[in-house]
Amino acid sequence: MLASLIEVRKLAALLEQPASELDDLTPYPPEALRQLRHLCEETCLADDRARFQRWAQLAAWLPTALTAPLARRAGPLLTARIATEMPSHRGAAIARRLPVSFLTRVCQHLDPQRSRELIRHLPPPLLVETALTLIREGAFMLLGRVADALDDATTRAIMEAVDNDSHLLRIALYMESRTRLDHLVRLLPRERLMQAVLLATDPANDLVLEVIALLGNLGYELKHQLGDLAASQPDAVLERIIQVTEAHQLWPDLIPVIAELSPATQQRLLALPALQQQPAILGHIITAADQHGLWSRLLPLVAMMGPALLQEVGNQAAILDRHAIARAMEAALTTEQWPALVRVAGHLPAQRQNDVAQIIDEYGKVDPALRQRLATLAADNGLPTRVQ
Amino acid sequence: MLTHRRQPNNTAGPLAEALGCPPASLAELAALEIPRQQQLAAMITARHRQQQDALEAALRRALPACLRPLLGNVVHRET
Repeated sequence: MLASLIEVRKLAALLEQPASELDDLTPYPPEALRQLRHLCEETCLADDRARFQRWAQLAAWLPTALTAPLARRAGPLLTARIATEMPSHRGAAIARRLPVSFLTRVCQHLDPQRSRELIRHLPPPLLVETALTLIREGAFMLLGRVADALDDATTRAIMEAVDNDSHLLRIALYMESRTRLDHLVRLLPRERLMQAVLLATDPANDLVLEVIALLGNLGYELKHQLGDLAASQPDAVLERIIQVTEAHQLWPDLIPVIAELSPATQQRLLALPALQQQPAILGHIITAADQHGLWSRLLPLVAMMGPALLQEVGNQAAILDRHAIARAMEAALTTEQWPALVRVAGHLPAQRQNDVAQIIDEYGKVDPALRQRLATLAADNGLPTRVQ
Repeated sequence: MLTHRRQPNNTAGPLAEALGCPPASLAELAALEIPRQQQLAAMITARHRQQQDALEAALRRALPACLRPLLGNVVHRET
């Protein structure tokens, strides 16, 4: 999942390791990795808090006119540690007296989690200037974490000040709260948001992960609009999205996006050479749908597939066990997508077809009419007698 | 020297031990094999030590720099 990939990058940055050193952690759930990162932050960065709490108390007795120059002499690391332990209004009063260049360096040592209130107390113009400096330095990960703490007015001010939309996308990728991301995206004028997606899908920019993160975390309406916009790009762009998704195994993120696209766009995606020529991709899509409860989102796409692709899905579905087949059928039952399921069942190996037939029998004990309906559907699709 | 806040938990795996947390906090990562946990624990310990060293160095630099403006007049009078 993309969220796990991002967590691994954050953990790698914290431990000052190349992300490739921690690649093996990406299969773990993002919540577990976030917990690990928070514990690492506690251990590595929040050490010796009592000392800094005492210093923060001491600094509170000094006038801000004296504390600000002292902070500069203390340097960014100590200032960040002491500021984190101060009452936020006091820390903000001192920050107002410090130059942006120094504040930028302090930010690089701040624990965004602990400094939320301090950040909220800073005046928007100062935050805008600091954010612009951090963008120039490429500190997108840090900004993504800080962005969670910003109020709407400050966020708008920063968005207006940033002239390169790719920077906003890079920051959005690292935001901690996905619901906050959806909210912040809504603060952007619709036209600008669309331009950002177009920019991100431009092959000249390496922003595919950013696009997937953005689309995957939006509400239905925006996902539908922006997804279609992204998918309206030339086939080469769509191929690239598919290849990046495959390389990082981001299907749990992309399947819900594809499910919200218009039928015409979905047809275009299904016709991409990548899906025809790399059957393993279909296997990974099926596995992701099963492991992440996405059968109900995948079955409508299956319903649109032509015979060749369907046959390939059937071949790849051979890796599923009876429990996975039961989960797919449960999704077909609850979302009334039997035609799609029966179509693909016709391409399953005999053992899996037996599983389908047995599960239909079990449904039939409770709902004979359903069994009859499925038997007719199976016959119409030329399924073997056992399934009928 | 800076001190570590928490005592290691000797019944935990290497990762939980390095982080000074109960193993339950990392239950979802339990599938990580012990040698890999040891590697991660070494990375965490190294980063912790590096941060401690950075803080010590910053303190050594900052104390005279901060005390000078506060005590400067006194020092000047005494000398």
